[in-house]
Amino acid sequence: MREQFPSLIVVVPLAAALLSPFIAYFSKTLVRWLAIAALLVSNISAVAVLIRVLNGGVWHYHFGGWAPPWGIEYVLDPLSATMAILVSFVALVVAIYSGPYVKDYAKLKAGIFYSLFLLLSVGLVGMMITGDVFNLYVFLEISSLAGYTLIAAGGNKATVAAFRYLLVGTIGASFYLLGIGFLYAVTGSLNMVDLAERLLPLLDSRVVIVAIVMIMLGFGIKMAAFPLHGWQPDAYTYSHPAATPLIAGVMGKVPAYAALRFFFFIMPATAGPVHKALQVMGILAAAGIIIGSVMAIAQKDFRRMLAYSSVAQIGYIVVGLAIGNSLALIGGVLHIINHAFMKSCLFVVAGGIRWRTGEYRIDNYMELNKKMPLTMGALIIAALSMVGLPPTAGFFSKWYLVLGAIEEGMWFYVAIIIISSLLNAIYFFRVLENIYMKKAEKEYKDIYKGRKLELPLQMLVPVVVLGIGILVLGIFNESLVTQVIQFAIPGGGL
Amino acid sequence: MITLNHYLLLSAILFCIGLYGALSKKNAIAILISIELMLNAVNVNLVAITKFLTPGDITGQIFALFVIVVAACEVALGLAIVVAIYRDRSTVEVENLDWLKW
Repeated sequence: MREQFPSLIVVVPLAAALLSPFIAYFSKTLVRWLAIAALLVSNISAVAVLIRVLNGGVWHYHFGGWAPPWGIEYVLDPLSATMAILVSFVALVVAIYSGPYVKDYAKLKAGIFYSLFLLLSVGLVGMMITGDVFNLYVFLEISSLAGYTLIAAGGNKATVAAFRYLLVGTIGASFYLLGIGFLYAVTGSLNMVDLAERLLPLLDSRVVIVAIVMIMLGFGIKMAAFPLHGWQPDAYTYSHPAATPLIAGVMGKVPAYAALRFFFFIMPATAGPVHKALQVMGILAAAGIIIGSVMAIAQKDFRRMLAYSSVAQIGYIVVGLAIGNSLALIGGVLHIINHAFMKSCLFVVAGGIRWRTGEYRIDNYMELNKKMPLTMGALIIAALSMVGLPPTAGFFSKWYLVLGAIEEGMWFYVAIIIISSLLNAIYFFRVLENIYMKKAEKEYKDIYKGRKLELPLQMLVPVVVLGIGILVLGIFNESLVTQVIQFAIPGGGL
Repeated sequence: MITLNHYLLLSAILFCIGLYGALSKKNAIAILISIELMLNAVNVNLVAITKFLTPGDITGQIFALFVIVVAACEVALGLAIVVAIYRDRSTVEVENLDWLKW
């Protein structure tokens, strides 16, 4: 049993996804608990795997007992295990949060919702731990297909957003596929460890350069890196509110992690074509950080503001990859983790406010602190973390990024990160000002007078857990870096 | 004599035609067909590479099967979304779908 933990991470939610439409015929409550239980098993298995790899080193798990060149290999190192924990944890929390939304659904609709939700989680977790580039494509498509459907489930505007994402996302995926096709042509292997060995003498060949560009384009579209982010604001704004925290919080981060794996583990990114390509991506990401932040300031819809802020935050991760020394990579990886928590917390809060009051415009958020104090507390923590104030998690990832940029003498990136922190402060403090400082109009007050507005327990628990999670990540970031991330960065402690 | 290069050229041409169609067509269904063309170009690529570089192996063919399955899912989903859009707006011309601001 203990030898099979890596497969449990993926297989249990996958089986639950297949079962859930049938179980939904009997009971909606049962299917919800099935989803939560499956994600819990996945999460616990990931924790068990992390404990084992921290003690025993990298674990190459062969799926079904087939050896690597033919079978699928899962590579579990401290980094991928941590990422698997992150994804399954956020998915678990959001599954708890989805309860009140699904309450009024017809049985079959609830079953299909949880089926898609679990498939999305499976795809994302699978991308984190797989050691095979074609298997990565399959998981990418599983998560994307489930993601398109969950976005389209959000209503009439969402269908257009989902259609646009489907077109752009499929083009991105076929670029990625063509890229790994070329890599297969020159190396004859799709296993990441094999590829890393066989690509070394070939790095400057034209085929590999084309493949690098195509793979980078594919991942860039999937993670909504700056010039390729056109699909993202609409998709995050209009997607199904119960799934938005998972989609916005994790779905963009996973391809970013896959790109890190591709360009730093399979290919040496410190020199040669990958280095040059990452420099270009870095400059574009810097532009994206500024433009995304400015666009966020211009938004009136809270969800849309958060979506544009995600464009900027993905930029930080890409900048981390572009700087490329171990400090910046620690910053980038830490930001993947932190931002997954912050963004899902913010979207959980935004969805909760909309669920309770029907409001999504920032101007109408007056005096919400009196109605939902705990939710607003979580919002403050997440907002301060996005701005990057010290005790919260967001500060530390930016700190490592800035240290990395200083070490390389790249002052341009230092300036960008500091300017964008100020811009973050502008748009988040505007929200907080609306909530805490502005007085609500009298009629508005009367409508809500005497009504309990704090979220129901099922939604409140995820809000509080994610809010506290941001603080915990901030306080314990040093042990996270020294125990886990440092060992996982190429040349950073091994 | 048809060599690997011919197949790769065919695949590249198909891929570019598909990409051009996906970027320039106005009809939502035409865009979906163009994307299918891109994925099939990749299939030609994978199968040809396996046939010429590792004869006797069937890796590329198996991948092509996977890609066909994925493409079928994508088209089914894309058409379902197109039907949903058509019910709301009675159009499948993408330039009329201006519900969203950039």
